[in-house]
Amino acid sequence: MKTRKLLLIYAGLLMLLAIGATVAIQFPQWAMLALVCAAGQAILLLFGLAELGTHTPLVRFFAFGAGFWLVLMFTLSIADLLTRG
Amino acid sequence: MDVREQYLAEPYQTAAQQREATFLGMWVFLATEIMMFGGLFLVIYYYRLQHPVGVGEAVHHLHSILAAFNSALLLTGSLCMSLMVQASRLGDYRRVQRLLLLTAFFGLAFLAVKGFEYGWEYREGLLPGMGPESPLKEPAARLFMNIYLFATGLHAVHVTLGVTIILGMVVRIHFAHMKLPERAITLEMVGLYWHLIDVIWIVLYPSLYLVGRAV
Repeated sequence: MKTRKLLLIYAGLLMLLAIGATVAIQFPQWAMLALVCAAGQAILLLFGLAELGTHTPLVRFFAFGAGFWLVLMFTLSIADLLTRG
Repeated sequence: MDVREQYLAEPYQTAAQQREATFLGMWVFLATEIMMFGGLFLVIYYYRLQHPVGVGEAVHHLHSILAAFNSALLLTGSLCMSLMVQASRLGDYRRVQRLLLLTAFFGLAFLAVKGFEYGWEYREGLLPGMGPESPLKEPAARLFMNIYLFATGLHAVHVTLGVTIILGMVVRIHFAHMKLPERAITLEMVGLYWHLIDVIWIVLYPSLYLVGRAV
């Protein structure tokens, strides 16, 4: 990957960090936006710096398997809490 | 032929096969790390939903700007790591060593800031132990600080491991035990580990410090 592209990704990561932190500290009612920024940062880092997109489908399958585990665990646990009022 | 393909370990017949197996093995390991931290994230969010008032009180006492500075340190370390991987593919030993040392420096700076933050929190009575009386009135807030300490402590252990591995790589390159660019894949694996540590912190930061602050 070219240095220029890496620097752009880095700038994007810092920008998302600044937006998330500023919004959460200045406007606490919008603090959930910090989580959206964090998700954006994680995607940018995994696909930009860690180059996950360039790996073979099998490698990506295992990487996404971990993400699937998180979704399953959170859905099963939080759904119970949220649906029982 | 790409010079990186000249290094072929015992069970593999082609460089592509070796590369895929290496990445697959590393991602399986990283997946287990994600699963471990995933359990911790679940605890954090379940607890937040159960005790919003107590968590709000605890979050209000945390040093979110200091932690944001720490996030920037880790992100800069990740950039250095990616630049190092790029240099290792070109076989530029000096640049690889410099960037590895720079990444280790950012990792150590992160740990130093974290240590300072722990000291500050301990003196304020926020952390468990025999320190001064806690300013936290809600028992749920005090328990949230335990979760905070465990989550950030476990992450700090990973950063320490990452720095140790990086310094080990610098020593191996210095004593010519790692030929580049043939063994660039080893450094790519170290890079992946470092990026994962960074991703975990990226999610830990808003989960512990930002969400749930009192309006």
